[in-house]
Amino acid sequence: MIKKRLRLYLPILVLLFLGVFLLRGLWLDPKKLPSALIGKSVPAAVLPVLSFQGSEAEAMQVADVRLLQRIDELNGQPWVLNVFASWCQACLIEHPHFLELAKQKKIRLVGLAYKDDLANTRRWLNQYGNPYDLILIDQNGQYGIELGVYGVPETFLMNSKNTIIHKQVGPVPTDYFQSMALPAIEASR
Amino acid sequence: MNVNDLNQSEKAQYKEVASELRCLVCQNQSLADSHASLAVDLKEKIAEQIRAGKTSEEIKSYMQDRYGEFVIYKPAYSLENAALWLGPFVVLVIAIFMARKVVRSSKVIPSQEVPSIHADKAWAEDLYKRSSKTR
Amino acid sequence: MIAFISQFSLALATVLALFGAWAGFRAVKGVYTHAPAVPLLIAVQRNVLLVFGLVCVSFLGLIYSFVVSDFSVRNVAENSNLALPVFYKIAASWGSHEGSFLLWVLMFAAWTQAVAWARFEVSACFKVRVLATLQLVLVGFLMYLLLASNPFEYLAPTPLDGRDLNPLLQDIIMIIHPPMLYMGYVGFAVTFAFAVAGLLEGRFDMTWARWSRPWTNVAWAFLTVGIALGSWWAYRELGWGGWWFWDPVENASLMPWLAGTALIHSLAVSEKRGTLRSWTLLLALTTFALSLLGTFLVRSGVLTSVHAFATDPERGVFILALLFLVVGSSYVLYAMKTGEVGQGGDFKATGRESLLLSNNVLMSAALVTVMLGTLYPLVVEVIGARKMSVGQPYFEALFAPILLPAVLLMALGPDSRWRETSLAQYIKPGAVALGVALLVLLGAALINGHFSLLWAAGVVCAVFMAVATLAHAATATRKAGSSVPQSGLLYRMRRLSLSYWGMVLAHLGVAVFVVGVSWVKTFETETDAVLKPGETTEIGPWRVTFIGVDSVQRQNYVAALGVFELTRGDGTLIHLLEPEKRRYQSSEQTMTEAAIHTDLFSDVYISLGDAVQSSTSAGSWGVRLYYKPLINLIWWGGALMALGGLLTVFDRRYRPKKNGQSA
Repeated sequence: MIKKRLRLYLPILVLLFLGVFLLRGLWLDPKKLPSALIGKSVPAAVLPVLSFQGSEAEAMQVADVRLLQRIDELNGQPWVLNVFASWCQACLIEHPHFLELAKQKKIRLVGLAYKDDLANTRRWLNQYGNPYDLILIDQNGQYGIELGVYGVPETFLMNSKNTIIHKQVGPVPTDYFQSMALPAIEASR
Repeated sequence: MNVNDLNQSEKAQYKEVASELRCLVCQNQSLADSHASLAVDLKEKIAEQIRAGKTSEEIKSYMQDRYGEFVIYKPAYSLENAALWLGPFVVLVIAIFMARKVVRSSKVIPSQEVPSIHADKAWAEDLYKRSSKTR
Repeated sequence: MIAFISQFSLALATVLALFGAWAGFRAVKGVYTHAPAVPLLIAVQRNVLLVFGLVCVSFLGLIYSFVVSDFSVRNVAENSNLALPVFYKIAASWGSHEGSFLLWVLMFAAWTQAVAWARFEVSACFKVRVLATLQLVLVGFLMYLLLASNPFEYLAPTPLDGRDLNPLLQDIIMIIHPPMLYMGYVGFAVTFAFAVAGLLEGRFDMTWARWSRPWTNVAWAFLTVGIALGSWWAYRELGWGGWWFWDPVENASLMPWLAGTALIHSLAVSEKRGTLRSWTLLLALTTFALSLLGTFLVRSGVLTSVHAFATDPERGVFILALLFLVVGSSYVLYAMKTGEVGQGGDFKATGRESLLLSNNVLMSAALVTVMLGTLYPLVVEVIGARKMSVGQPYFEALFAPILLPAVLLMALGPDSRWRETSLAQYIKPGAVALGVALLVLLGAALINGHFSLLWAAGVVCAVFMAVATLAHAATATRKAGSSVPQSGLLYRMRRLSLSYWGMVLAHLGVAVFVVGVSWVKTFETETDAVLKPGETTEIGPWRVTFIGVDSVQRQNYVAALGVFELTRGDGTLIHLLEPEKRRYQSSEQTMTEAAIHTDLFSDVYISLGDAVQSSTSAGSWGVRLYYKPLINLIWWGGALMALGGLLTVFDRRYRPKKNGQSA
């Protein structure tokens, strides 16, 4: 008798069960991917450095770029790696925030020019300002793959030991440093 | 490394791996089906790794290490996904079991006892008559 | 002005529907004591007509706003512009979230009106309850429309020109696909209302089952058409030759379809034999519940999909609340009242009831598979903050093995008898069918030189079932004329009921569909090529020569038009294929429009890629070519299924005779 009653109330129980998840799901973003690299060392690599002094007419090919930078030599202080490109519309939204951050000299800013024509990158930085202490070049997107980059812009935060402690997908908010970077650095101490 | 540089068996492995990884910038496609720029880059990476002799498992691990479990289009056969892979079979077994109970519990009822359509018609007419009487 | 009138109509409709539902439910209780039933029914029917009329006015108002490009209506400004062809302006009225929901509401009101108009032999009280239930649910939808999803929202300042209708939606099939889908989703509400009315009344005779069937079959037929059109549209429009992606929104339409298929067969048992009533009731409630779930999934942004409308948690909450209320209360009613419905079975495992029951078992398993695959990532993310994905490989691994046995069982269906069938009856027709199936398989394998397990299984099951069905039809036709010697074929065919022919057609449709899927999945080929004008490449049995690329300007877009010559191996047959790469001026979106040539159900599919920029190969273009053998059987199969479903509705049984006696 009880078993039959239980069976009759099963549909409503299933509905409630499902409903809880559907309700919760309304506030999740299905497209946002959490980084798989949080807590791991930033991938080692040697990347060419974009020299920013130089006229646009000298649009150098990557092969001509002489200066190289080892990623693991960037430790010692927390630093931010911002993946950007001149063809990326959303990057314009976050760019003023980085300019502000650079003015306040709060943290080292490294830019990664992702799959971009170098002449265009320079032109873009000339037009909108250069907040970066250092600009690295990733023309074929290979280093981006190492980082798990799937869109632009993305911003990684590394602590002094070169461990990735935070990743922001999409433009950083105005108070990025206060609300995201600082707490992450504190937490990783 | 382009897919066209691979030989027959490498191409087969490439097709298999590319169809089991998700394109992250598209909304619902495997890497194999997608022509988005990230997908093209990742597919080249796969081709490179196949030429370097990696197994399908190693390549998928490589991708998962960088992009997380989400990039695996075919859910892993793990304990965590047990409900997913076994669920349909469990339901099927339960359903068959319940169906058999229905069949088993059936006794053959003589035809007269099975409710006929005429009985219902009579009921409906009676109801109508009753309702028109109370007008 | 028009927008105001339209909104007012909706508001009035809401109030009237609410009143109608309340009055209907209230008054029906008093029927046995003081209120006569038939006048009450007439009053409720008039209420339904009024509401339907008001909703029509509102919808026409929306179309009018689009046609005259009234950009003070936000919906119009966001989905249409002055350069859009009139045809697409009208279609844009249901291209947006809000507009498509108004279409949904219109369909709902239309189905309710159809029920009000239809003459079928149930008691007046029952019909009042059905209509009142439908009106009550309609109130919920109208309130959502008015409060959270207003298609007539005012836009100030009013722009001089609007944005554009999503180019993907500027296609004739897009015009028809949503209405067909909604006709299906909403049609199941009728069966739902029948079930609720039956539960309220406390008795589930075969009358209920009999009169639920035509509504269910028609709704199912429309849903089949809607899904098939969606698949065909994706194939033609998305440019990469895929036709089913197990996208959450596609799954959202597949789930009610699977439940609906089970419901059709379960109703057959309930009508003919009076058994399985409790299960059929539950199915009737659940099929509509799945329609509502589908609506929720599409509009809430909870799942990743190419399809999803703009997301908004508040809207999602509203729809979820609606879903809870409607489905929840019906399930509670079910739990409370089903005790009064007997189970009663008098059939053996070999009877037709068992075959239909096994259809239900398999459909349920398939349904759970699709639901599990669609919702699992969400559940996992909420519980464990782990983000994983379930895609095509999962569904394909499980779906086919569950459904192929169903195809096999369909072969036994026509020959089975109610209550029990001797197995010997199956042997002779079964053997013949199997023989034919294996011959076909052998022949095809020899021709194509290719063999795969999936293909073999699919083709054997489908051909087996088709031959068995046709054989039975032939035998039945012959027997039908046995009492009248020298009777013509048409006469004999007409002696068999339309329900029977509908079943034959629908089952054949399934066979055609399965053959199409198995064939194209095994034998399709794809080529990526970079071609200079004049160069030739091969795809399947065809040779393709790239002629060149022209630039064209149409009403609202510019395009690069590729010209390709298609020749058969011997060079005789020539067709011209012209794929385009369009750039829509107002939205600046680029879209690839593939060119397809169909030849005896097989397709050659050419899609223009990008122009090659390098200096060495100037004038070259990247081109993608596909050969898809027998792919059109997929959609022809769907069409046959829908036609079969539709046919059953015209069966003599459902026509009330003049003197009020049922057939």
